[in-house]
Amino acid sequence: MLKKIFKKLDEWIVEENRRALDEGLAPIQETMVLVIGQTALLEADLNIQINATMDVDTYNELTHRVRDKLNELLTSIHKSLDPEGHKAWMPEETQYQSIYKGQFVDAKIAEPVFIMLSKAKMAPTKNKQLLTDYLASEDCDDRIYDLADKYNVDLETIL
Amino acid sequence: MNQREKIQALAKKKARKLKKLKQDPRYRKVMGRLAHERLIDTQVKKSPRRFTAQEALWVGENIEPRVLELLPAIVIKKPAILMTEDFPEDLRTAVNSLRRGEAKVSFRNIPLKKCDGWLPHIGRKGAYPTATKNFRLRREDLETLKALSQKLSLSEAGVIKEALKYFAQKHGNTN
Repeated sequence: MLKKIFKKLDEWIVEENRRALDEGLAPIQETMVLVIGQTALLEADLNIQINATMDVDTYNELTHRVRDKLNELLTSIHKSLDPEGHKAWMPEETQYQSIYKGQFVDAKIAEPVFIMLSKAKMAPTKNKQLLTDYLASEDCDDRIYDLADKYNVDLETIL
Repeated sequence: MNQREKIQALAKKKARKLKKLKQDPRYRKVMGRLAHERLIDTQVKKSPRRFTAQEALWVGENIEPRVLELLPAIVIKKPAILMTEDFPEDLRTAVNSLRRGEAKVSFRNIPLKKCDGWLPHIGRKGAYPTATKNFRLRREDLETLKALSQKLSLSEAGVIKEALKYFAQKHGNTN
C-alpha cells in the first residue's frame, strides 16, 4: 500500500521540479523517508497479527512541502503522518529495507527486529501482546536477544 | 534451559493464551467496527456492529491497548459507534478532561495526550470537540447579546465567537 503512495510522491516531486526549473525556483531535493512503527510492521508482511492505528511514523524529519504532500497522499488511504513520529527512539544499529526507490524518493522501512526492540524499551505495556506474538513466532529474529541485552530490556519481565 | 529458551517458552505459552483471547466475540466485534471506521488497520474482518464501552475496555485491557487510546475520542466525536452511554467513572473523567483541552493525566496507563491526538481523526475530520462554559451576565449584557444576535443573524454563541475572533485579531492571537 505504501509503495503506491511513495510512487505518487515521487511523481509529484518530478512535476514540481520541472515547474521550478521553468520558473527559476529552487527544486525539491532527493528525499529519504524512513518508516518505523506499526506501519513498517504491516509493510513487512509478518505472519503475526498486527493491529495498527492510522498514523504513520517516519524516523527522519521531512521538509514542509514534502511532509504536507505525503500527508495529503496518506489521507487518501485514511492514514496520516504522526507529527511527533521523528521523536521516537530507535536503536543506533537499526537497518532499513527499501520499499520504493524513485527519481527523488527513497522510501525504506525499519526491519521488524529493531522496531520490536524500540517498542520493548519505550512502551512495553502497550506492546506486551505484540511482543509476545513476535517472540513466539517464526518471524522472531534472534538479534532481538542481543539488542535487549545491550539496551537493558528485560524481555522476560515484559512477558 | 538457557535464558533465551526460557523467554521463547514463556512467549509461546502466553501467545497460546492470547490466541484464545482473540477468539472472544468482544475482540472481533470491537476490532471489526474500528476497522470498519478505518480507525485501526487489522486482519480482523470489518463489521458494522456497535459495541459497548465495557467491551472496548475489555479488549483494551486484555488484548490491544491501542483501543484504550481511541476510546475517549470515540465517546466525544463518534458516540454512535457505542451501544450504551453507561461509562465507568475513569472514562468519564478522561472524556471531560479532553473536552476541556486538558490532557495532563492518563487513562488506564495511556497518557491522555495520546488520546487527544485522535480527536481530529474521528467523526468530523480536523475538528476538536466543543465544550460548555458557563457565565453569569447582567440583564443589560443579555439584552445586548440578544440584540446583536438578531442584527447579525447569528446565534448567541456565534456572537460570542465572533467577538472572541475580533479581540484575538486586535490583540494578537494568544494561542
